[in-house]
Amino acid sequence: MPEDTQNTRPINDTVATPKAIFGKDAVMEAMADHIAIMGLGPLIVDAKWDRKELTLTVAAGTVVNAAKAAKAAGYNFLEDVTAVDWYPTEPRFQISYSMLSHSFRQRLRVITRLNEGEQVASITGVWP
Amino acid sequence: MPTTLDDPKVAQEVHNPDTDIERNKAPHARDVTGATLHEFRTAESLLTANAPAPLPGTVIAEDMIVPGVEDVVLSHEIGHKPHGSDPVSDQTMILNMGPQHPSTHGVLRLVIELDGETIVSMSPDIGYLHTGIEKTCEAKFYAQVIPLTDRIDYLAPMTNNTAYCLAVEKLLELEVPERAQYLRVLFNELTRLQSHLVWLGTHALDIGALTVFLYCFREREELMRIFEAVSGQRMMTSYIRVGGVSLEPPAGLYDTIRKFLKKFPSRIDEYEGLLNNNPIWKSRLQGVGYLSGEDAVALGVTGPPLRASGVDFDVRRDMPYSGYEKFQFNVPTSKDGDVWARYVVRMIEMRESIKICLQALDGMPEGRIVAIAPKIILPDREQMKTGMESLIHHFKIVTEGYAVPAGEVTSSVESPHGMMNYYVVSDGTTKPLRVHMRNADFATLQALETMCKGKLVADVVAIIGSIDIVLGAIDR
Repeated sequence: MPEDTQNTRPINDTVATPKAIFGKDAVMEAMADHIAIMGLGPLIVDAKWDRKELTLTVAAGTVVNAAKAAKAAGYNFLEDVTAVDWYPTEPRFQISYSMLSHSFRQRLRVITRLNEGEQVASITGVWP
Repeated sequence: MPTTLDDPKVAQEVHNPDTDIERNKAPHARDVTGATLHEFRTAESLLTANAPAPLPGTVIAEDMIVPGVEDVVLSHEIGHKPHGSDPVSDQTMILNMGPQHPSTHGVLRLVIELDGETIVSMSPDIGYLHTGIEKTCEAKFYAQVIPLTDRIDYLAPMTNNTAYCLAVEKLLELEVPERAQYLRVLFNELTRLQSHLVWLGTHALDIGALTVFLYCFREREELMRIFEAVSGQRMMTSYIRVGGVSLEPPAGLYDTIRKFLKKFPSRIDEYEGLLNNNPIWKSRLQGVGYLSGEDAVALGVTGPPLRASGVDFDVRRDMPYSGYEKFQFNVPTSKDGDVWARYVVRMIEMRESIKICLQALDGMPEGRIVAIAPKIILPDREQMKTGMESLIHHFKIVTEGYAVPAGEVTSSVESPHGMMNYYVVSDGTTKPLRVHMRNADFATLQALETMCKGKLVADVVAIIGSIDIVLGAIDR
């Protein structure tokens, strides 16, 4: 049966700053209480807060650990995995993982960069 | 040069103990699971970069239908015929379903492993409708991508347009006027009605209720006429544009929509009257295709199937876009998680959509239907023919497109089938560097095996119908 659930959920307001922030240190300082920053902490190589979206870069070897950390931090839903070809920039490829937290109503993008011929481990162990 | 076993690469491949273990496992012990389809597709899109072999654990449909060498040798030695052609054999049978099967709603191919009539395992084989749309988008100006998005999920063109335009507007940091937002909401909800009508009609047709199909298409025809009146096209509308919508609705259209919405609830009653107490419909749907809430979240299921499994999440309410926060509506959920629950959830959703449409019509504000951004939005025809500046802008937009600031964004909308995301990456030029669509159908397909395991072949048809699959959204 339908229930009136309109506007009954809490909204996480930790991400109120609208300004774009680039660079690992700047983002980690400005958004130190963000669940993703707290969860992924030492794995973050680079970060950006742009157009109200958080993108965290991790090293290719730590993708599985990053996925585990993100899941533990509350990002319970893997939306999508896709790739971007940045030719002729090096490293050429970018793998983007899009994760969503149902309870915090937040989206997180974790990216990693790969050179040609490199491989990245599967995260099927984290999201079955 | 032919590859031989002496080639160290091939030798490593053949004698890799990990893959050997995978190969020797019985097919039903391997699972198609959560991130697998996404990752496999990602690897495929990088074919230029020595794409790795399929991930361990991934079942390729072709592998299932070609018997393993050891199976053939074994069956020869002990006298069993492979693939269950011997009725007393304890071996399972491999059955190919589709891609031309009428109940697969397009060109979905399933390879099913059967024990008698019970499903042991299943592997979907997609790609028969692959159009390369994602790649094509990279060669178009931002505005030229919109007609392509119509063709992704061809039952919900307005929703696709909205998702793409939201992403580009986010990149441009463009504010859309309120009137355009209301028009978007109105036509998004009418699209939801239209898509759900096709779902209900074909789902009932699969189960054997022909009349419902005819009734549904009767109402769908009226919606098609509304879309034609507003955009000039019945299906491929391209009505929603970057910065707003393309045209002011013609005079009298709101009355037509109101008339339709007034009688539509009684039409839903009509469908429910045909189905709800029908013993065949009930026994084919109830208790079939169970999916638990945890499995649904883990496998990436969204939309009505997710809500039918008891997870209360709707993008329209929880992460509002295009002014949905101004509308009052309920999000139906069910704890049953079976095909029947998905049917009930969608039927209630249709009634909620009517409420949203009426609120949009009642609250429709006056004002512009596009944002003020002369270098991005095409000027009116009259302005273009009378003003020098407008003419220059028109010429520049049509011939060169408009540059979009560099960055990457994800837009998310609740399409009739579930959560639809557009991931657009810009490098600062007039053409997108990458456009990627996340369609609900693709992720929901991953859950098909979980829903079908242990059920009968006939249930597969009911379950495919209940996930409301559109192959255009899966093969991009």
